[in-house]
Amino acid sequence: MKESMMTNERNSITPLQLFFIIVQATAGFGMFTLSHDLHNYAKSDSWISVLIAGIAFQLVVLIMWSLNNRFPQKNIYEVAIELLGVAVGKLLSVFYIFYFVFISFYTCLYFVSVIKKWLLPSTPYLILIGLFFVTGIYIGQANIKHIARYCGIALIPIILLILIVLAAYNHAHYKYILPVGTVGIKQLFLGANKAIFSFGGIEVILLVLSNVAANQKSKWKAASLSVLFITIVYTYLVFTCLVYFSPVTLDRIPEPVLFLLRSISLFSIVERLDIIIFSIWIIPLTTTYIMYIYMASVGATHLHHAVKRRKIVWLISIFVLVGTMLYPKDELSIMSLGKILVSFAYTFILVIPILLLTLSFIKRKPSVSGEGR
Amino acid sequence: MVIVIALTAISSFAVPVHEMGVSIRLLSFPLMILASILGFVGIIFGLILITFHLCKLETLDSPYFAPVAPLKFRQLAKSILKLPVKRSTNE
Repeated sequence: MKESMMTNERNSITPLQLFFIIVQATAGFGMFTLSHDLHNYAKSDSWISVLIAGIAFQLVVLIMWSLNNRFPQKNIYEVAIELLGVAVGKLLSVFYIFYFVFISFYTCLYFVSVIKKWLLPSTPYLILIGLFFVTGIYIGQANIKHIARYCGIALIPIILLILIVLAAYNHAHYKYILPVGTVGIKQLFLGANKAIFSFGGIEVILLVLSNVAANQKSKWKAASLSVLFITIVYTYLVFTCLVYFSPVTLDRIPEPVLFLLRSISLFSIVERLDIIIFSIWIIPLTTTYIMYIYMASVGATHLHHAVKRRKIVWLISIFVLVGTMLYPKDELSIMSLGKILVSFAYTFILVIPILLLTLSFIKRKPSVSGEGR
Repeated sequence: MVIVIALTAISSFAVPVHEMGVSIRLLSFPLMILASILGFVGIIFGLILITFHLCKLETLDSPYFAPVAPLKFRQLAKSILKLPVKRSTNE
């Protein structure tokens, strides 16, 4: 009975849905702040920095995919147990779970602080976190199949955002970007390093790739295309901000995309587009949060077979709720938390998959026929 | 508030299925409460929850949002474009 449930849960996503999931998990963070953050480093060539980060993440996708290629039916937790043995593998899983919980906590914190700053300044924190809490619990405990369906629909707001930002090109000054390639390679790479933060969420590939019912090539194609899509969206946003604002302005305003939207009025009927778009941006942000909660809870079920995923989702959500309530919400402490998180991200996105991959090449190729599920 | 209600009344004529009217009216109340407390953010969260619930629904093993939510371009095209009966039965 349990075996059949496992297969039901497994292999239930199409490559197109994989595309949606990766896009939704990745988009969210830094969509509005990216061009300001990059401008400190790469000045007028910020958009090249985003492209560099995109190329780097294509390599990351390739590494994650080839790890999956060695064990097509296994997600990262099972791969860790398979390669490192039960004890060390479970320890690694625990680290991954903590990392995912940590990021979901950070997402919640980020959401709350930004919403408080832009939209609802006098609403108490508990209500804002409560909204996230309810959404996370309701969607986080669902099947990956249902989350994938939802992610497909949730792509509409991102497309809406892209289309509305298009209106900024009425007032574009292309000379702002004109000395292309003057800032030097070091600054470009520093900018790309900064851009990595907004690509957070790519870890979902480690987990979800084993749920896709398709051959390996189309899995890779979907994952790679989704990263390409995200790269194009970010490059487009950064480029728009660069041609719209003068360099001095861009250094001063922390959320350039929102400032840009504020000055646009749609057909001279709809004003203050920034507030509408900002609320719509909640949708990709919640999906990011949900994917992290999902990943952490799935990891917990692999630790011990008696663990119920529903309870783990509740546990994580309550932890996030309490943690966000207690953590200081001024800008500096949130930023310092973000820095810690990026340094962790290198380990968990890049180093551990590479180590596991090399280990899988050192060990013999596992027998495929022996695996029932 | 008046404008919102007027817009809702006008857009209720755009609902193609008459039976859906009751459920839409029922769903609109929690959304209205959310909107009055939290503004647009509340509407967005309400819509997220409702949309996800609809994504989860499955009637007779076929998803509620069938050609859209597990996106299938061919079926989507078929539900928008209706070919002549002769042509479509040939396929």
